[in-house]
Amino acid sequence: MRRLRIAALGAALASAAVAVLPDAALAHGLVGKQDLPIPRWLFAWAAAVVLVVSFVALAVLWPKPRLETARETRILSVPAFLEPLCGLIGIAAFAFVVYAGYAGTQAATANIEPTVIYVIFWVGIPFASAVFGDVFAPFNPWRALARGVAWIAGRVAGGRLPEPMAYPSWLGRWPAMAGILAFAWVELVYNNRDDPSLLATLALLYAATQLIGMSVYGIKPWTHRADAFAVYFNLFSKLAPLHWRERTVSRRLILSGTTHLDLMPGTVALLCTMIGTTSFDGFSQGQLWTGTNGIAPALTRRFANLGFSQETALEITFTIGLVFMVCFVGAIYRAGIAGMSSIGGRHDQGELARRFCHSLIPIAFAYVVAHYFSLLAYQGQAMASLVSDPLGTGSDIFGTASTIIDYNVISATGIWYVQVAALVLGHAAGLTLAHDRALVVYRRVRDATRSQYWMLAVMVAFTCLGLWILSASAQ
Amino acid sequence: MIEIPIAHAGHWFEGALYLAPVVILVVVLFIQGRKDDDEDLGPDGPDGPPPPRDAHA
Repeated sequence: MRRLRIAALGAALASAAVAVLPDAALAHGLVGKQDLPIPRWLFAWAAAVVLVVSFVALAVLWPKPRLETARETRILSVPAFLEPLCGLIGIAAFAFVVYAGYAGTQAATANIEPTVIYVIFWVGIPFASAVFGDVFAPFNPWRALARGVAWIAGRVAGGRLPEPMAYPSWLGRWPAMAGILAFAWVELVYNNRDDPSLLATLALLYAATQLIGMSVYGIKPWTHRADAFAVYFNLFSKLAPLHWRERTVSRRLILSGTTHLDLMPGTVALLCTMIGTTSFDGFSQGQLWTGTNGIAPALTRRFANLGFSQETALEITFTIGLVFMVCFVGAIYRAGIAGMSSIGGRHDQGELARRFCHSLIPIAFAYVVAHYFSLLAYQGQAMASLVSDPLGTGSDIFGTASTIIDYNVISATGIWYVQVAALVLGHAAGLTLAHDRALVVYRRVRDATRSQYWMLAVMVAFTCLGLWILSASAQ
Repeated sequence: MIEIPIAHAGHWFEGALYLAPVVILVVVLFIQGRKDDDEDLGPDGPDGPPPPRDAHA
């Protein structure tokens, strides 16, 4: 009971720390471009009501685990030649993007490389993965290169290649978590984030690190645990109704793939990093962070007074914000788990945190949709002109170099509705996954339902946090 | 000194409106959790009903 009270207090305080802080943007009376029939905060209330109704409906209508026991149906086999072909395409695409980074113009908007990395790769592939399954795996360039080298070396050595070292079990997904955090740092904090040649160098460094890791620990163990992007995209693919395995494609119940998530160390931290970094992306565009009286200018002044250059002071400030947001998301989740552990009395918090972390996958995807949908809708159109002039040298290969972005493709109001729908559906999906898992973890249905009181609080907290951040950044 | 951005009360109220559903839900769930605990323990507490007076007779 005491843990229950601490969890309740923790969840309330953690949410209060951010949500009660004033939204400085409102002080300036800026009028949003959205034309909404009700105030934005009312959407948060409506979303909370939807989640509570979903929770009650699950408790009444979902008495047995369904997703945990869902089966897959094989629908087709993939021809063997496609595997190396996809790998070659992936290697060629990677090589071209790196080449464009070095050989093309260093103006970020005129060079294809930054748009490919930040829009198509970072945002587009998660969207595709959640619909079609793990589409990145066959095209993964460093994996394809490693497999090609291993195949050639195996032929030369006559099959007498040394066995790779065993991947340390304690390491789990921690390298992937570090990789995603590092990428988010470059994207959101680093001053030279748009420098094409620097991005090309970082891409090569990443590929080299992956090749070394795969050569030491084996291609499969390393790719499934430590290759940040492979793991990141694979997590989203678990939401998809299609499962690509070896050379077969199977159909499965939507969301059911998440129930097979390996509960290895670092998984919870990785998912909290995914949600936290996306949250910070939105939060850092709000007036509370960047406004004249915001947190960032105040902190930057403080670090500049300590002797750091203005640029370094800004990077330190944003690094603190990024890490804080990741920890804040982790704190909300752990508060919910602390509450859950008070039910039934037989499960410790570490075990519950791991067993329920798959419910964070749809939330992470919802945050990606909510924060990056507009980027994909608008900036994604820039690819039409960039493919015709990838290096920014004035070429017009496909005759589309003069294509401009159509900002009327979707209105600001339309984007807001997509964002709200994504957050509500994502959290309802998370609630469903947690409920389904609780029916397996807890012997009594009554305990399972009671344990999910705290997951409901977590989901509502994440939904309100997401809408508050979106609302602040839309001011 | 780090300046904490303090705007007038209306801005705090606007931010609190996003927090309110979470607080309300946590309070309701907390009360419901206590009720559930009381139901589990029953009217006589965790040790069950007291033994009858003539138990040692």
